[in-house]
Amino acid sequence: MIALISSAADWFLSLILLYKYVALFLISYVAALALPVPASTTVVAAGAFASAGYLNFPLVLLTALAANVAGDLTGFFAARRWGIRALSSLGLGFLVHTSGFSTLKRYLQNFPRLIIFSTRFVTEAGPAVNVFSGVTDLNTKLFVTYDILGEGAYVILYSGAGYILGSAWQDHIGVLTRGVFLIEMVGITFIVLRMFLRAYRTHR
Amino acid sequence: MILGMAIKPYRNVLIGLTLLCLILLAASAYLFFNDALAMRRAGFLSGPRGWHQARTPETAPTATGIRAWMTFDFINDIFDLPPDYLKNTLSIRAAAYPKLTVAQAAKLEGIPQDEFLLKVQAATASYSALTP
Repeated sequence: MIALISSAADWFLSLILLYKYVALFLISYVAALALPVPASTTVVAAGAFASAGYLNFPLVLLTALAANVAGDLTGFFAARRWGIRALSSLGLGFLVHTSGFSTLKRYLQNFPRLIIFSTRFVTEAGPAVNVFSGVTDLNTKLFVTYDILGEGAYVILYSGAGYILGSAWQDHIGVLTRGVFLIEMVGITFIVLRMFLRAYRTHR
Repeated sequence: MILGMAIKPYRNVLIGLTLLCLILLAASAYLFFNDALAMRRAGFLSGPRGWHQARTPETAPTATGIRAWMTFDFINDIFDLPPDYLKNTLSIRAAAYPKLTVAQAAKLEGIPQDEFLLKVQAATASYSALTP
């Protein structure tokens, strides 16, 4: 399984070297849309290739940012337009009326900036938040603003790390994933602590 | 009283969740700073002396760092090799050269990938040794 994932990652790296910015755009777009492709690894690698002079660093930043934002907005607007209808046609329309859906909607309405910004760093969570934001009719201007800010920070962090690490990027990529996990944990702990304090005050 | 009983399990869940988050936060901070220290020892993140100093010597590419997913175009570029050096040295016949990967070339030449990769690394190293 690990060998399979590793060879898939190698294939994506080859694509970046063969088709450069077109491949970087397509991989990042598809990952932002929903499909599980190693977008973060390819963005770090693109930064490292720019460090070697093979790619242009500002173009890497622009391509990755444009692709990520385009993928996020596709998910957001598609869910806004067809989300409820798609759920109903799949026989899952009842989900919208469940308490779990209402709770998630309330969290998104209470912390939209934090949730949108922080989930840009998590390839698995980002697409789900895009779709959920679209289905729950979140303010478009708010979504677009924090999506661009979050994706901008994500692209600068990942490709910048690749640029600094250069040819040693594969040996030190772990520090980046742990750093992002740390940022996520700060965000989650903040939300849970706020919930805890609110419940404590209400109970008292 | 009834309200208090209803809130208690919810409160316990919240306490458990908060503790879990704090433990995970501490663990992730420990792992991250451990890695960051290792990077600092390896010559990265070396502070205000400048990125150009922080990026040496570990970021300098070495022939052993060549991988099967790399294209010849990329290898030629980062090692400053003449465009046809590897093609001639390794007798590569593929028309797509240099826009093909080491793995693709090995397959086209009918040579096991690991064996071919070692040949590419050796040829690159010998060129780098000959040129100052």
